Order: sequence, then C-alpha cells, then structure tokens
Amino acid sequence: MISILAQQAAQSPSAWLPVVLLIIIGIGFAAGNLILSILVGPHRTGSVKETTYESGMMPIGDARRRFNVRFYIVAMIFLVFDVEIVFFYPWATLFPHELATHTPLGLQLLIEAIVFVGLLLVAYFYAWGKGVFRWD
Amino acid sequence: MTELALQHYLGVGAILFVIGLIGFMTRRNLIVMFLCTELMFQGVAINLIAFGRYHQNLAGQAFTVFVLVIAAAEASLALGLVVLLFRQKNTLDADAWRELRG
Amino acid sequence: MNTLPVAIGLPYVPDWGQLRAFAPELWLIAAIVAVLLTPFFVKKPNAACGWVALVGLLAALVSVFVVGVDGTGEHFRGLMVADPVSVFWKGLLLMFVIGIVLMWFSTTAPTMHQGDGPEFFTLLLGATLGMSLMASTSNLLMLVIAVELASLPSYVLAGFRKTHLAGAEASLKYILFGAATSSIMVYGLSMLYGLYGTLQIDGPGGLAQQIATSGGSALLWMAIFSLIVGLGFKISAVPFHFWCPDVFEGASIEVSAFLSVASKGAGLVLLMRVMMSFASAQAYESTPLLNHLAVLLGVLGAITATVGNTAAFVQRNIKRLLAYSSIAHAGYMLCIVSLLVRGPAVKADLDLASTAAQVVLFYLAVYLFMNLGAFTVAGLIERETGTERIADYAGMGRRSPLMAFCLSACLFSLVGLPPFAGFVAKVNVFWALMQNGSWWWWLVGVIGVNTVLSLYYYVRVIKVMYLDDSSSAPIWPHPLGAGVAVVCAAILVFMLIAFGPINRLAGHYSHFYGVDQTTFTAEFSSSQPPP
Repeated sequence: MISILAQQAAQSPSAWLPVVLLIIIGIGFAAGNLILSILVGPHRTGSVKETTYESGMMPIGDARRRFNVRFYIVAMIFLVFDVEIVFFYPWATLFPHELATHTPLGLQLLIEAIVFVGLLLVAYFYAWGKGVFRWD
Repeated sequence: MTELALQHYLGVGAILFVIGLIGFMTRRNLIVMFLCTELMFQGVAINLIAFGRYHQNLAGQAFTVFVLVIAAAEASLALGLVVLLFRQKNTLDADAWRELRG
Repeated sequence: MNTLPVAIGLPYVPDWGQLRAFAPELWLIAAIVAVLLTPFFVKKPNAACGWVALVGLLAALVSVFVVGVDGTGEHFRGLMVADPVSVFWKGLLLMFVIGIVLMWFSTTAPTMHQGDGPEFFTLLLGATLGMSLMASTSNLLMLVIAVELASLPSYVLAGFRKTHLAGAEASLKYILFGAATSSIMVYGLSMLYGLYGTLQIDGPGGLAQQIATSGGSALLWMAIFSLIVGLGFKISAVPFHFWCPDVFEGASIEVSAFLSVASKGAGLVLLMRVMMSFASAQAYESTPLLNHLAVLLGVLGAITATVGNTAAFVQRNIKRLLAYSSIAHAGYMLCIVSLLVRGPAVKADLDLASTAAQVVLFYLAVYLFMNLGAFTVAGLIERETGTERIADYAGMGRRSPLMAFCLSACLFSLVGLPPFAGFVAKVNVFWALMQNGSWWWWLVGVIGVNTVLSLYYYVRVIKVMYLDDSSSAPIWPHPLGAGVAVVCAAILVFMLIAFGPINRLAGHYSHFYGVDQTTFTAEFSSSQPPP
C-alpha cells in the first residue's frame, strides 16, 4: 500500500494528499477534544474524580472479581456491529470507480449499501428499544 | 533465505486448525472450548487467503470476509450462552452440565 | 512491488428479473424486519409478532406458487439457482413453518414471557430463510452462509426457555458441536477451493467437472469427508447425532418439531444437490470416486437408521422418542441419497438418479406431516398435563379420543403401515433400492429389519394410550392445535389415496439445475412468461 503510494508520489506529489489529510484529521480530532474539554468543561474535583480511570470500574480490590453482565452485552453488540463494517471494504473499493465512470451503476451500488445499513439499523433500534444501552 | 511459498501459509493454517481441534477435544473450560473453535476458523481464513493468492482470484478473500463474520456471530452467541450458564451453576466446567442423558 | 495482479471484478447489481426467482426469501426478510419493528407499535407484542410472522410466511408461500420455477437457472452470477428441487423444498418448508407457528399459538404462546415473541419469531424466520437458501446454493461460499444462517438461530432457539436448565444445556451441546463441525466443514471447503481454484460447484470449469477430469486424491477425500461432517451434523447422521435427542428434550416443543423436519430436510436437499453435481459431471459412470461415495453414504444411512431405532427402545420421554425416530428416518433418506451417486448400476442413466431424488422428495413431504402431527399432539398434551413421559399417556384413548387417534395415525404412518401415507413412502424406498440391485439388497435388508424394530416402540406408545387405564381427568386440547393435528392425520390418509398424482408432482420437481438442464428448461421455461 505504502509502496504503491510512494511510486505514485514520485510522479505527482499530490497523491499523498489523502494521507496527509487523514493525519491532520486524526491529530486534530484528539487535540481538539482535549482543548475543548479544558475550555468548555466544568472544573470540579472530588474524591471520585481523583481516582484512576478504569472503564467505569472501581480500580481498587481483587482483579479477579466478576464484571457487571452489562459489559458483556455491550461487548457483544459492539462485536456484531463492528464486524459488519468489514463488508464495506469491498464495497468501498468499487464504489468510487463506478461513481466516476457510469452513474446508473453507482447509484444502484449506493442503494445496495443503504439497504444493508437500513437492515442493520432495524436491529440497532430493536436493541435500543429493548433497553440494552441503558446502564442502570 | 527462501521465498515464502504456498505451503508455508498452509502449514500455519493447518497448525492453527489442529491446535484448535485438539484443544476443543481435550479442554473442559467452556470459554477455552469456544476460543478453540475460533482458532479453527482462523486457520481456515489463512488457508483461504493463501489459496486466493495462489490461484490469483478474489474468491478466497471474499470467502474470508464471510468466515470472519460467521466466527464473530458464533462467538457472540456462545459468550451470551456462557454468561447464561454461568449464572445458573457458577462454574465454567463443561462436565457440570449432564442433566440430559440416554 | 507486490500488488495482486487480479482485475477487481465488475460490481454486480441484481435486476428485478434475478430477484424475482427469490421472492419467497425476500418476503421472509420483509417479515423479519416487520417482526422486529412490531414491539414499537404494540404493547403486548408476542401474539402480534406471531400474526405478522404468519402473514409473512403465507405471502412467501403464495409467492412460491406465483413465481414457480424459473427456467433461466443460475442467479447472482452463479451463487444460487432456482431449480425445481429447490422450489419444491421451499413450498414444503413454508407450509411446515406455518404449521409450526400455529402450533406455537396453541402450545407455548400463553407461557412465553411477554416481550420474547419478537426475538423468537426473528430467529424462527431467520432459520427458515437459511434453510430455504440451503436448497438453492450452487457455490461453496453460499453453501457456508446458508448453513450458518440456518444453524445460528437454531442454537438460540434450542435454549430459548431461559429458565429451563435443560434448555440451556441443550443449547450448549448444540452450539459446541455445531461450531466444531462447521469449522471442520469450512476447512475442508477451503481445501476444495485450493485444489480447483473455484467456488462454483456446477457448470463449465466448476468443481464437479474438474473433479471428474482430475480424479480422486487424498485431499479431495478430506474435503468430501469434511463436507459430510458438516451436513451430517445438520441431518443428524450417526457419529454427529448426539445433539439431536438432547436438543429435542431441552427445547420447547415447537422448536423440536421445527428442527426435526426443517433442519434435516434442508441438509438432505443440499447433500443431494452436491452429490448429483458430482455424479452428473462424471456421466454416472462407474468411477471409483462415485462407487466409494455411494458405499459411504449407504453405510452411513444404514448405521444411522439402526442406531436411531435401537436407541429409541429405551426412551421414556415422548420428545426423546421422536428425536431418535427422526434420526432413524434421516437414515432411511440417506440410504436413498446413496442411489444418486451409485456407481455399478444396472442402468447407469439419469432416470434412476432422478427417481431417487423423487423418492426423497416424496418421503420428505410425508415425513413433514407425520412429525408435525405427532409433535403437535405431544405439545397439546404437555400443555394440559405438564408431562412428557410416555407412561403418563395412560388412558389417553378415553381422556381425549381425538388426540389419541391423531397421535396413533402419525405413529402408524411413521412405522409405515398401510392406511397412511408413510406406507407408500416406505414402499417407495424399498422399490428404489431393489431396482438398483447388487449391494443395495443389503440396505433393503437393513431397512426391513429396522422397520420391524421400530414397530415395537411406536406401538408401545399406542398400547399405553389405549390399553393402560388411569383415573386421570379428560383433556380438552386447544382447538387450534387440535385442528392442526387432525389436518395432519387427514392429509396422511389423503396422500395414500392420492398417491399417484402427488408422486408424479414430486417426480416433476425432482430435477436439478446444471444436471439435466435441457429437460427442465424445456419443461419449465415454456410455461413461464418472459421476464
């Protein structure tokens, strides 16, 4: 991947542009959030806030204790939806090319992706309605 | 130093698969047993990718995507079931469940 | 520089003509979405979801009749086919699942936890979708997806009664065996892909044809064995049958009934398709590969039938008894599948092979109603008395004459006794095996002995119902379920009377795409309007 890019870059330096853009967005997102939370967020301290952050668990005690079962449910939902993303990779390698050449096929591909995401959304809304994302 | 050829990839795939199979048959901890089936699926995925490269077509890669998704779906189902079972008996030993016989 | 020198394929968007042949599957998907959205509009969603699922299944069934067989054959670039066999199976499957939903209304519905309905029907319809896709796969990738789509919801359905300890254990055993066998199957299929470089089964350059030209090898046998492991698990052929009785006992009754017919039938249809492709690519010659395959399947079928029948002897639970009986019936059907690939045949031509397919399809049609009826009665009795033990059926002939009669009819039919359609199905099996002669006579003997053995344990249930008496109160079964049971018993009698036309119908639909393509395009595409 990098070597292909390097070869293209020898001919036209602008081929690196997407990579540069990605790096800028990545750094910008992280830095922007940090700065924003410092500027906008309220500054209150307390004994809870001083503790080490451990994904919402109390960091003190035996490490081998049982986790709340909600962790597993959220992890499973995440696993399933995360893996569906894998289907977008083959789609994404074809879509820009088709969009650039003949439009009707590009539109149909877009509709296919929308149907796919729509079906996933139905499952997501069902899980939401079922109260899977409620933590209390 | 020789080039990596097809058989090396197949070797890794076969080793993963066999480790998974042996682990599945010998271990009695539920989570480890499910991990072993995942290992078997990963062996398959390596096989498919290697064959796809060897035959110069994309069918193997397409297959791999689906194998990964199937493995993930199976894992999430299995983990859900393990949580359910653990709540009932407070153990992960597969031999603890032997109500159904005959 | 290490780029993959393959052209990225042209993207493929199916047009309406391609999708039309799979209208039943599209209706099932629509029904799944509708079931998932139902709880947002209804306060108590269980019964509502049942009705939504019923409507979706009916629409799918109607679309099977409307669309019928598509003469164009391959769809989605050869991933799937819509040939006569798959259409016949889809019709059977959808009818059966409608029966299952009606059974749910009359047995489990009142006790199911409010709010579990949407999940139950999503899983049921999802498994149905996978099982109907299994019948029309012509590609290894589609094969794996269809098998998993049928398996994964079944695992959850098996353990759906969350408070039942036995249900959770059954589900655990099912998913453990299932995950292991499916990974073995996929490993073997990856070897098949490695050997021949294609995932396509039929057609020029497909797997079947390349196997025919290159002959057998150790790796090929490994791949075939692993395929049989994966499909044998779905069919519950003998070394892989352990899940079957446990799951049937642990799951609620309509799930057991669903798995007993749908899972096995789909596995058998898929196995038939693969074997038929192998055999036709080798022109039904007496090649060593086909000979060995036929012996392998025949022996597997004989062992499966024998183990199922002998284990059924000692069962005291009606669901376990029916589980072992379903294993035995899967064995009979496997024996017939071995005819598809028979090597040293008397007359090596397509006719006998498609006769074998016809026998299996007819058997499946009869088996469907026998099992639906028997399970429905067992479910109704369980709902009224809370027992699954056969001993508690004492006096049923007096306590509920109608139920006792329906169960007796289904059990007689399962044995293969004359007033019911099970008789002609069994006769068909014997006739097809005898026609082939040679070592198939052994299978005739094994199935004959098995039939006599099975008579004992089926009749024992009937004896308990009519001859043993008890002082227990009479039972008034739920009318809907009683209706299903009576209809099943009536259909069993009707199928014996109308044996000729129904058998011809099965024969008409016993053609596989890519095998006798000319026959079926001539027969079916003429009746279809051009797309």
